[in-house]
Amino acid sequence: MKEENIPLEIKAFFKFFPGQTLLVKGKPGTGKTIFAFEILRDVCDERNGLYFSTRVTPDKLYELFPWIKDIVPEKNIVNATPNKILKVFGSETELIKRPFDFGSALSFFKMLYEDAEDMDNPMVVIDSWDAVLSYINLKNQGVSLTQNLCELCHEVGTHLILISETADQTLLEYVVDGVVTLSDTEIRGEAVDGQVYSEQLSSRTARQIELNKLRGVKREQKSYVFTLENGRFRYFPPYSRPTIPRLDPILDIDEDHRSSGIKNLDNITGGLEKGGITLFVVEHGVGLRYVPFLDQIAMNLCNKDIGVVRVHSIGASLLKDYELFNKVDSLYQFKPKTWITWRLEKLFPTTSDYMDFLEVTKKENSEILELSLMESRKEYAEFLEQLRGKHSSIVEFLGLDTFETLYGADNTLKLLDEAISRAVENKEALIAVAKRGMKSVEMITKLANVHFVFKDIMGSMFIYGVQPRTGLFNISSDEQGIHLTPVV
Amino acid sequence: MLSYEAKIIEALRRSNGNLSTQELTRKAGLPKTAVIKYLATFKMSGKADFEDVGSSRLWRLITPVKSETTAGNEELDKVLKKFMEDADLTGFAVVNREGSPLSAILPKNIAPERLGTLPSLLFDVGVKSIELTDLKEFYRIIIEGSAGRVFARQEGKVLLIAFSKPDAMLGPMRLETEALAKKINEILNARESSDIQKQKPSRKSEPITSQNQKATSLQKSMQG
Repeated sequence: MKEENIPLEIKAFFKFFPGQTLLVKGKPGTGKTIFAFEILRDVCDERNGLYFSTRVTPDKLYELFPWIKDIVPEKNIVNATPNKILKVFGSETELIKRPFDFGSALSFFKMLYEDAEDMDNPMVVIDSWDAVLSYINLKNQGVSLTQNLCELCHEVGTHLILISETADQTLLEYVVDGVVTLSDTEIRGEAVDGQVYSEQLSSRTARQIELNKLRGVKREQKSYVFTLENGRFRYFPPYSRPTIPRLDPILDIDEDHRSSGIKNLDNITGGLEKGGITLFVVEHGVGLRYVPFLDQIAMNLCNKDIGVVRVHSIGASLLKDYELFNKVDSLYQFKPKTWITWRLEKLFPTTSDYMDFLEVTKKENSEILELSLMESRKEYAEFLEQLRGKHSSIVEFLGLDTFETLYGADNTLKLLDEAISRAVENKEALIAVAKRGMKSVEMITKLANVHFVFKDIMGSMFIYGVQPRTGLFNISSDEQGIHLTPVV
Repeated sequence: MLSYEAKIIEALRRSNGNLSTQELTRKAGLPKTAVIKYLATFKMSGKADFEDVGSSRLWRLITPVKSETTAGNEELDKVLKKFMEDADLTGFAVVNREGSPLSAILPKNIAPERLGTLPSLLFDVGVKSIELTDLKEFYRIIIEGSAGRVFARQEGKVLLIAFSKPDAMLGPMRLETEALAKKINEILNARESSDIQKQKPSRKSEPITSQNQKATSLQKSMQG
């Protein structure tokens, strides 16, 4: 089965009508050629692709993209020399006397097919159309010729992809059936209440495909992020929260590092450092889609008979289909009854009323909070002690936003400091989750040995490292669990 | 088995000028790329053309006009027809020294009656130009227009006039007509010998010198 590497809208576009013309725009190095080949691979029949290139020889092309051999045979890679183009259209002086017509388009295609294999259902890529037009001094006036090419393609039912090196809007866009623009885009961290986070000072680069115009096709999204990893174009569709399958445990990396259970993450971080804190910051728009990522980490530890205690982030345990606790024996959720605020939660008709109560309590009745906090810490310590008897080791997953909501920012830092001390003492990993918007988040990031950020970009889920610094990775999942794909 | 070209021509011939490129591909049963290549070639050489009908273009063969030729020229007709099929030409005429057409397949836009005046006109221009520029002997004349070319040459007993599209290659045309001229002269010589043989018992044939004199007088009248 073919992978879905190009947006479904593009596939639908080429299915909509047999002779579609698509203009692929973008600055040099944005992935236009790979994208065109990926379309051929997806839409075109075997040996029916024709690549008319003004810059690449067949040898080089096959070396860069060996996977196109079956689709574009060597004979169908046509070297577009200025002489070849001038032979079809004549010199500039002749062009003035003889404007482009359908016959010109026909002659152009005759030249394309001259030495190519016979094809029943050809699909043609011209890379680049700008260069062809500049050979005949028509850089900015190629509309008439383009229109005639489009008409011929409509008439004979041949798909045509024109590649353009300019990202600017041109008149060509009015005559083709579809236009997409590929570009690099700077992604920055979020700012809340005007506060600038240290990580916002540096940005990450993402590749973006914009579906400007696709005649006859409904666009589900206007833009997608994509990668060119391993010389392949692959777009990232919207990510919904998957259920993580039961996977075989991945052994610890070394004495000082446990495996995260996500191979790609281990490769980036070197694993979960024992005696250190691995922090995940969740940005706005991610919702609860980050939870399966932590689930896979937890399951891997549980599969090695390590006890995992999770104090969930707000809302994380409310997922309707959240069955992880039923699946895994050594996974524990801590929600002690002595935490006064949780006990009171059910008494309030709405969440909003409950949150208002917490705010008032934090400001006016700090002694209640302190009492509650002391009781909770004692109860939590006892809970951990009990588990240590059952398991060789205990790893804590702390939803720090829950702490801040219940006990305020200062107490959150105190609780985290205690957890770090336990991790150091027991030489065990500690996982913490913070949410963008928390008052304590900036201080928390300073305590972390490893610091990653979950981010939603154009409906897809991404993660990037602040410590260690990494580029963007897309998060996807299948029956093998979570995968991280670099955006390169 | 028919060639790609023959299959396309056959499909066009049967369709009577109302096939779109897609339909033509289906009818000819050929790969799309091959049909486009041949249609482009046909259009360039004037063998076929399309007509805009509504939003589509319908292809038709351009049938050259076969002019009336003198009786007994069937063999010449055959040679000419074969030559037209192979060469990149839109029409061709063989005219004797008296200016009478022996065989001709003319482009659609040239009426047969024009063939009467065309040879003398071409030679008049050619020979006068040769005289004025002192180029000695007259071989051939090429007239180029925006819609096509006319190429005329004198060879032995005949004048050959070729019509082509404006972008047809001159070199091959020159060589091909040279070969054709030889062949035509061979046919005419053979026929002449056989006529002499037939005429021997009944009447005295006209001496060759007399024929040559007639030809020279025609040429002179053209030049004059």
